[in-house]
Amino acid sequence: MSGSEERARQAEVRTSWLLSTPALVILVVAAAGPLLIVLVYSFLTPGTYGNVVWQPSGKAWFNVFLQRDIFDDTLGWADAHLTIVWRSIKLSTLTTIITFVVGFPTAWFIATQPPARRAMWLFLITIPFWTNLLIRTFAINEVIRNEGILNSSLVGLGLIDRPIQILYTDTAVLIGMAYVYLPLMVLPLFAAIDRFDMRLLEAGYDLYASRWKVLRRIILPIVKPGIVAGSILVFVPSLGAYVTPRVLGGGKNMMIGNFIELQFGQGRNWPLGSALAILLLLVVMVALLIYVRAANREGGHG
Amino acid sequence: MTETPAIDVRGATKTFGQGEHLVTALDQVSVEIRKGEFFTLLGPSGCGKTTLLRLIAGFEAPTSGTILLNGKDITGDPPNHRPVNTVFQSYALFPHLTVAENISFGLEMLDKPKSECRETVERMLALVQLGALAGRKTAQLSGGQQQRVALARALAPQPQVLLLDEPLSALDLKLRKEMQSELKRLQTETGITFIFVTHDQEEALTMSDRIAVMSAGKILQIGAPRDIYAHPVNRFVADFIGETNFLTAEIADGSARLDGGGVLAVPGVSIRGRRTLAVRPEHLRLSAKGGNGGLAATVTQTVYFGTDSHVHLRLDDGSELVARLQTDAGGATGPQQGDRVSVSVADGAVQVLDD
Amino acid sequence: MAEPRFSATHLPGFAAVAVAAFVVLYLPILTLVAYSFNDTMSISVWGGFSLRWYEAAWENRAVQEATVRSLIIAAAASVIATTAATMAALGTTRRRPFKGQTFIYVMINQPLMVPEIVTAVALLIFFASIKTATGYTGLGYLILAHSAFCIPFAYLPIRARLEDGHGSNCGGRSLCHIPGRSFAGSRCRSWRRASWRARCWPLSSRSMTSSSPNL
Repeated sequence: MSGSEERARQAEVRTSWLLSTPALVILVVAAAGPLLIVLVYSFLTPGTYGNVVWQPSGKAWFNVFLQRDIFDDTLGWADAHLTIVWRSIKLSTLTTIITFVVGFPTAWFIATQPPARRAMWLFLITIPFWTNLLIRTFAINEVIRNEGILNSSLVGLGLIDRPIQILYTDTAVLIGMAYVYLPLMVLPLFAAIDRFDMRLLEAGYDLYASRWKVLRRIILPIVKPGIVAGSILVFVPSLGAYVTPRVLGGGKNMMIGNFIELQFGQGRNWPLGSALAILLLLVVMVALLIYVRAANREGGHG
Repeated sequence: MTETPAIDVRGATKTFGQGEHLVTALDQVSVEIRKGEFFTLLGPSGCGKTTLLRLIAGFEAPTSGTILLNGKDITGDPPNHRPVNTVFQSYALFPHLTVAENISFGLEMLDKPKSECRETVERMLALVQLGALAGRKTAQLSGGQQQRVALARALAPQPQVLLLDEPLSALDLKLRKEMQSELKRLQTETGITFIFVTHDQEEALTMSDRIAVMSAGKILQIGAPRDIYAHPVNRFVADFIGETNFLTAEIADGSARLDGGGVLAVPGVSIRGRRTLAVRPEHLRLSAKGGNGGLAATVTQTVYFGTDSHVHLRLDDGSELVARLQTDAGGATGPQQGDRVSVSVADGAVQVLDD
Repeated sequence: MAEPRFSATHLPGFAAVAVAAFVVLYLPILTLVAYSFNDTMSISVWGGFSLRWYEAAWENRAVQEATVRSLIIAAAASVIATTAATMAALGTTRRRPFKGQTFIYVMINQPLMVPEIVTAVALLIFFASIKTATGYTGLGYLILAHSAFCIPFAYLPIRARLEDGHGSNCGGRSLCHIPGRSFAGSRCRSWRRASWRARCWPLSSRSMTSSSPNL
């Protein structure tokens, strides 16, 4: 490489960095930097009225998993925390499954429409997606509460005597999350199905496969990257969900998000909240890593 | 012939769309395809040959008409219930499966025992000479190899009929020639009825037992390659298969009077009136001007092809002809541009067409 | 009786599930819209058509102030984020790979991967410290936070366009072209979401939510 070529290359790289600087500065100041502060806070001592005292402590991390019995000082699992973590994982997993079961046929339906109508259906899927999360959560709240449409219709039809208590249960949180995150599942599934070569279906039927076998042996394995993408896109925000469990789950059925928030509010334990936030972030990163791995493997020979 | 045909298509019509957008892809098509024959559907794109194949495969249902397989009506059966397999133009190999998994797919769907699947896959891999690639994903294969996998996959379940939808069109010339003889060999070895769709007349001529020439949703002529080449029924068939010279003439009493004045003998033709005559270039004889009763012509161009040369001629009435002359062993140059020649036709080489 | 018309892409029951999904998706939202025209206070008892709630909202000082605040924040964040993202996209597309490119890419997309509650908590801690140190209480916090959050939503579609080299790749495709990036494009709605959050915060009684854009 000649000297002038080398200099030109350096200039090009410098331009790249210069152009990226404004974005990087904003992100370091208002996104990445604060995350580092959270990490630091998780190793500090809680202040009496919130905030922290600058005194190093591993207690917050210790308390995430373990606790000392108040009476006999024995070490045990922090059951309350583990219950919340377990509920979060359970509800997020179920949300992912429900959105997939509903979202896959929906995405298939959209992808197999004639091109002109396909754009319309895709648009219809994205509109709720553009609608504010809080509004959608309140909308589903109106449907499932005791005096809501669902219960009054069921009572009106004589199917049940009294309204079913759905609101403020795990079921309500589940319904709500499945409702608000459905488009996040449908869009990547649609993208994968859209790329799927429909001629393979004829090959499958030609080789004596039934509808079910074609679905299981041909379609699902090939659109797997889309399934993985959709699952991650639903699982990650579900796990960190805050608004939906708060509105539909009431105060009792907390998920990690609500519990973290609690530590910064009434709990007045900012280090514990910070530790939990970092923990949540780590879980999400692991999930994303699995996704990237899967996506790369699929893309390798495609 | 009293034997039940492998495939019997009776009056099949297929239309797409409706109202003013109605397109008739197949118009009252009837054809019987015999057991164990290599049958080719030949025609230009859009002639309905692929639609006919898809009706037989079961991917499309005929608008009217019936399809029988070994005498049994299969018109309403979905493709997965028909003992018929297809080699697709795009191959449509399953990208997530290996070569061996692709080949065993049909067998697994038929719930064949594992051992039988394995054996058949081995046999098929040997048949198409792909044993070394059994564990590869199909995307890693060359076009010719993919073609072989597609063939093996379709042959593995031992179908009654194998449908091939322009399977060689994506291959380069050399590979296509190789695969042509390979296909013929496979057909002979397996004894399975092949229905082959192509727009390549040479491919059709070299491989087929019988050919159906199609145009605009209809079958124009069915016959052995030799019959179709020697006795095309109409101008379209004559033109589509091989190269042909067309002349118009008034026919009466076994002779044809050309518009330009010459006369050609058409022995045994009893019809009268204005008709089109077809003469293959290789059936034209040229001699120096002054011969006995030939058509007077001028050489406008000669093109040398090695084994033969094409001599372009203009008759005195202005109509154009092409003659194909075998290259002389002695290396004689033959007629040159501007030469005046006399054109005669080999006995029985003039075909009087129906339209 | 076999099916009269065979369709390879047909899967039994899928269309029914899809239509049901669309109904379920829209019914709650449409109900909410319908009851905004209800004359009574109730959301379950219809008291006749009325625009009284729209009038009430229009005349409500808190709503007015919140709306203005939302618009300011949304506009400022959009301008800042789009400008920064466009520059970054120009700096990182159609170039030979260079050292640090991955760093830039990860930094820019980082807000997409971090759960909202974590971002919220991080900003709370950060802004609370600044507030203690400087005493500043303006909209700057929210504008800065939203700008940061919106950068990847602007960056990904712009970059995709630049890489394509033409603008025809719009609509559904750019929304979800590649599964991994798909959500990024489609979550461009963030400025809108941002404005809604901003609108909600004055109504919140909690000091914490009010200082955090993501709650």
